[in-house]
Amino acid sequence: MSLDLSLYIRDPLYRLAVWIIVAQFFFIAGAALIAGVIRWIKPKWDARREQEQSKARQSILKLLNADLDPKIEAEDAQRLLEEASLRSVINAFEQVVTRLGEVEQRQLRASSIALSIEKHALRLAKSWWWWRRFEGVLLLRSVGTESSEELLVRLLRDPHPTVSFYAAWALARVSPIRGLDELVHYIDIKGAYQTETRSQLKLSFSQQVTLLKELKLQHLTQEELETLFDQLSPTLKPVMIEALIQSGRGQAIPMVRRGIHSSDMEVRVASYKAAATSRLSLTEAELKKGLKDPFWPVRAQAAKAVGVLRAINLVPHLCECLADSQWWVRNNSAHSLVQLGESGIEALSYISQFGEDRFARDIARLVLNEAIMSQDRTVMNALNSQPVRVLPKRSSTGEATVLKQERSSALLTTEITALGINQS
Amino acid sequence: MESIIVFTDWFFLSYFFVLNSAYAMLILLSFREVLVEKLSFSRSVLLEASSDRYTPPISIIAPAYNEEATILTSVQALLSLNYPEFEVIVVNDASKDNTLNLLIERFQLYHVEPIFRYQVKTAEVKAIYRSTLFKNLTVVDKHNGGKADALNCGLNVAKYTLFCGIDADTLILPNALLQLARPFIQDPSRTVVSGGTIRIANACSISHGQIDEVRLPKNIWANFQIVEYLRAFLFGRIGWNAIGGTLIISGAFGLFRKDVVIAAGGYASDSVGEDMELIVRIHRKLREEKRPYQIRFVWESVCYTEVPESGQILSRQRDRWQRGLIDSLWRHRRMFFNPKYGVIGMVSFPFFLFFELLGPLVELLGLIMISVSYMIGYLDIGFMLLFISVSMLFGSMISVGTLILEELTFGLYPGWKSLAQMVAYAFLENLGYRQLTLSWRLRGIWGAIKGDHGWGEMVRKGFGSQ
Repeated sequence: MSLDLSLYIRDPLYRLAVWIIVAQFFFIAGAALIAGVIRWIKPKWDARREQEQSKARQSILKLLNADLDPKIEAEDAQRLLEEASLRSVINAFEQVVTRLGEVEQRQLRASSIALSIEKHALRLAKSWWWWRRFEGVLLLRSVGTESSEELLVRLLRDPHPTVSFYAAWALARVSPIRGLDELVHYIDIKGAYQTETRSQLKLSFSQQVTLLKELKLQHLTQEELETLFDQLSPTLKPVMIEALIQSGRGQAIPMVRRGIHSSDMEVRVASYKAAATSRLSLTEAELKKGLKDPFWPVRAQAAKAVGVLRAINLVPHLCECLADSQWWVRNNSAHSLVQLGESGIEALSYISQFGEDRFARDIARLVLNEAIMSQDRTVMNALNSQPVRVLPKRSSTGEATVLKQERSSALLTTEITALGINQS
Repeated sequence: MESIIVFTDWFFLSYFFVLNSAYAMLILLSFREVLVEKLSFSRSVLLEASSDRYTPPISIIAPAYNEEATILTSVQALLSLNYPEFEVIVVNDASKDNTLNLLIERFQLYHVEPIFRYQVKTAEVKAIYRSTLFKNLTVVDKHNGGKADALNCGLNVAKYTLFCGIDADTLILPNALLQLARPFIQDPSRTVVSGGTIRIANACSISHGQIDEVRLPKNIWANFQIVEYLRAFLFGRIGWNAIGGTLIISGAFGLFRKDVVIAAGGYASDSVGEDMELIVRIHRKLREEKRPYQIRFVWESVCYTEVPESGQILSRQRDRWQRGLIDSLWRHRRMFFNPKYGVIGMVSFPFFLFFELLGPLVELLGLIMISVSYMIGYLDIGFMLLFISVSMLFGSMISVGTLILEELTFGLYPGWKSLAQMVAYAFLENLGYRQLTLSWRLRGIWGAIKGDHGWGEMVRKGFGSQ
């Protein structure tokens, strides 16, 4: 039988259609076969990779534990590299390294496995292919030592921006002081993209966050830190504050103070947030400034900071914020009042019943209810304590006035009883 | 007459050629996207930041209307998501069944003051409940206003800047939300919406709101839909995502920036395809404002949903989808072939108009022309059969090609039998099922012309019953 369809079908259009149908059948059969092959191979492949990685992780972790004989260690490393694929070892290494402290990281980098990987990485980093160089610098980021420093410096001028970026990153790990200068160029500093050819690589926000956290900022002087802080984009300033808090609170406080006075709303928000989460002491004046900020996210964060920093003297200001036009400000102020203890809770309780503003009353009641539902002892005790203290309140002109002394916690008491919570 | 028939012949051939070229292009783009993502060496580097404290908090909004069969399982699954900070807002849209009571009983809800601002207009809220067991669970009970209205209501109550709109019968995998939030972590200033993949939960083994085992259902309708969903998500949406032309983020699983949605006016309560309409509106608004933005489809982020297992309910669903499509395209018709709207106006919009909206009409016209040609003796039956075979086999090629993508990405359905079954359904759907969906879509077009805005009742079996 001949494959020449013209013997059977005279019309060329018919012949074309038949050929298309035959091709379609072949495609479908081929696709089904490929799907089957993938189904057959993939689980085995995944299991093997997982097994290799798990083995590699165990070998790497073993290096951290005992005073291992260097000879045995070297043999182990050699065996691991022979048995597992390099990629599995690298992945395992990355998984372990990123979860370790600096001392352990140094210990691992000095191990035989790391040295073997480094040797391989140095070969890769000299490759003609950019993606091989990329893999090389990625590896050196994890395992690089002083011996790879010179090569990394050379790779900073690599024509491929990804390679030069990771070279800078690797250099920052190998030699923090030298690498820092290079790496800073990649962070979104205003105008840097136009002037620096090396910064053509546009990093995503998450990459920049990772990078800023990676930077050993403690190596910079206070002046350099401030210059860097001023140059950073508003979204990255909070990250820098956080990175500083992680490396040493002392350096962070001036940045937070700087941030509070920033003209950018996001930076002010982040500064108050950082102060709250890291309990950095701010003055009452600084907190008050935040409570009066024209932008509500700043007021909301400042209100939160007041509670965390236990600024008891700011109770009247928080009470004012309960009538704020924004729910978040009201909510944070009410929660901060609860955090401030007895005086705050009493103020909240009073406002929940006698507050002039409907929104203030509502939020006070809501937060008190929540506290009761979560059986907050401080709240219970404060609500049931006698006698009731006089609550100072700032009038619209700023003068303190005395509020009515009558206070009835009848509503709340009834609710507590109804819920069956033991008041004692 | 002959010239008319010749003209229509060429029209159908050209239409067929352009449509299938577009499909081929989409599937190639999908393969490229998946392979790049799979082989990307720097992926682990990007993920370093995704699990840390920069993950933005999310409000999950689940509108519920007569969902007593699935609501507890769904809410349980939502509460056990692996995500640093989130709240779950269930909006009971005046269910006539036991949905609200079940929630009150299971999660020990208590009544709180309804304090929120109506940033988007909705039907009146009757009550708001909080849970004594889960601090991040809020249930809103409101007067009936439809799904879009319920989502808008959730939007008003939501605390956080990002919200995830889902269906109450959606089961989200534990890490899915973290993956869905990835575009927002990587590029917070530009990302406004991200959407995930929907898979079919029928016949899956589910306990405590978690999928224990994925299986192919025995029901024939559900099986056809499995092939359809694979095609829609693995090749359609990944392909569109590659060129930035995403026009649909499924209402069953999408993450949005709240301020952008509020600025766009929230969900359209008078639309039956509110999910697509919102995405088109966001595109339109941001393009008009010349704001840089991106709408991303994250294929790794997976959720499961129950699909209809009877022809009658499925027909209602497809009818509604078609009406939703028509509604969305009609409302934003000025985007059609308008270069001001970039890829959306010049590529996505015309594609959806010509092939998704008008496709059923073209097929109907084709059938009419065949009948007319036969009656007047112009029909070449041999060629017609060959053409229909090529057309059907092309559909099967796309479906089987998608199975490779499925194996490369998830490979969720275990066993050789399930693979053979899926290949068989990829063939069989061309013999009857496709023609049925065509008739339902035509009904949808007719409904849209008549101004039908009904949703049609959707009966759920419930996850527990499978």
